[in-house]
Amino acid sequence: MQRLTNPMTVSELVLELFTDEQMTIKKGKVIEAAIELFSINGYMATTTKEIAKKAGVAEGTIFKHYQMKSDLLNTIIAKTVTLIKQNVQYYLLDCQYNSLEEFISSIVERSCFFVKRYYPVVKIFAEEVIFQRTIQEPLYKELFVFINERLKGMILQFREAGEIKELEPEAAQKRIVMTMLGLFTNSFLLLKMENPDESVIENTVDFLMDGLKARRYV
Amino acid sequence: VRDKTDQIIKAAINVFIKKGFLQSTTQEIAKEADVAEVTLYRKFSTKQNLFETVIKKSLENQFQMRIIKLAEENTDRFFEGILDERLEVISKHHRLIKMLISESLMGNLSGDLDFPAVIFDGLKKGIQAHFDKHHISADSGLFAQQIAGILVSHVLFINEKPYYESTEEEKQKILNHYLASLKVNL
Repeated sequence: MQRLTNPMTVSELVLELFTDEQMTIKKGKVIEAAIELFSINGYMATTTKEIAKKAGVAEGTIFKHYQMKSDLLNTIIAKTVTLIKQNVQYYLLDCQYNSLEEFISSIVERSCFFVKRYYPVVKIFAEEVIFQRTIQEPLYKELFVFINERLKGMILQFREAGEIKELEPEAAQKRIVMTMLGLFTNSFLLLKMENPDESVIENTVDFLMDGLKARRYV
Repeated sequence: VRDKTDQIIKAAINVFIKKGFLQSTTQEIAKEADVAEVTLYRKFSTKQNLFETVIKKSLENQFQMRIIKLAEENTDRFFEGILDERLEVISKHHRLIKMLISESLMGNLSGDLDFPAVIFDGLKKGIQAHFDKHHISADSGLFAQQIAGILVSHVLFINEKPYYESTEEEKQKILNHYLASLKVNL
C-alpha cells in the first residue's frame, strides 16, 4: 500500500487505476479526457464529442471501446470503488492499531489524504453516489456494506479491549460515519477545499473521541 | 395571475431537478410551464432570480431567521428544532436537494446561489448565538459540521419511510438519538 500523500495528475491516476487493463495509448487518452471533463463539468454536461476532442481522437474511437457515454462512467466508477475497497481493507482490517485514538485519527487523516490524492475520481464518484443515475446501485450498496462490516469489526475489537465501554457498537459505528460525512461535507462541499486544514482534522478527531468515550451517551 | 407564478415555479423545480441550474434554460422552463418566455421574464427577470425564489421557497424556508429565534430556547429544544425542521425539508424535497448539492459540488453556484454553503453558514451562526446566550464554551464549527454529517446522511441513505411521513413518536425517537449524540460533546 502506497502512502497517500501527494495529489496526482489525471494521467498518473489513469495509470494507477487501470494497470490491469489492456490499455492502448488512445484508450488511455479517452479515459483521461473523460475523467477530466466529468470531474470539472459533471457527467451530464459532458458529451462524447467533447471527450473525443480533448483526447485528440475521433469520436468513433470512443465507441470502439465504449458503446455509450455511461459505459465510460461505469468503468471509472468501478475502478474507483475497487480503489476505495483496497484502502478500506488495508486501514480497517490489515492495519494494527495500539489504541482507539490511533485508529480514529488514522482513518480520519487517511480518508482526507485519499480524497486529496484521487480528487477527480472521488468527485465523479461523489456525484454518482448523490444521483445513482447509472446501473450502479448494487455496487454502492455492496460497498457500504463492505465498509460497515469492517468498521464494525474494528469497533468490536476496541470494545473487547475495553476502550469503548458504554456505547453500543452500532451507535459507535453511526457516530464515526456521521462525523466523517460532516468533515467531508464541510471541507469539500461547503468550503470547496481539496483538503481540510490540519487543525480541523485534529479537532474532528478529538470531537469524535469524546463522543466514543463518553458515558452519558444512550 | 397568481396561478402563472405557481405554474412557473412548479415547472422550474422540474426542470432544475432534471438538468441542474447551469444546464437549464428559461426557454425550457417557460415551455414546461406553458407560459410565454416574456411572462417568465416579467415575473422573475433572470434565471438566477427564479432559481433563488424556487430554492428559498422550498428549501431555505427562512432558515436563517428561524434558527436565530430558536437559539433563545434551551439546548435540547434548540438542537431538536433545527434537526426536525431540516429533516422535514430534506425528506420532502430530496431530489431538489440532490441537485443542489451536485451543482454546488461542481462549483456551478456562486455567492448567494450556493445554498448549501449559505444554509451551513446560517447553521453555524445560529449555534454560535445559542452558545453565547447560554454561556456554553464549545466549538460551534464542529457542532455545525456534525449536524451537516447527520443531514447529509439523510440525503444519501434513504429510509424506507421518509421523515415527514413518520409518526410523532418515530420522529421523536430519531431526534432523541441525535440529540443525545450531540450533547455528549457539550
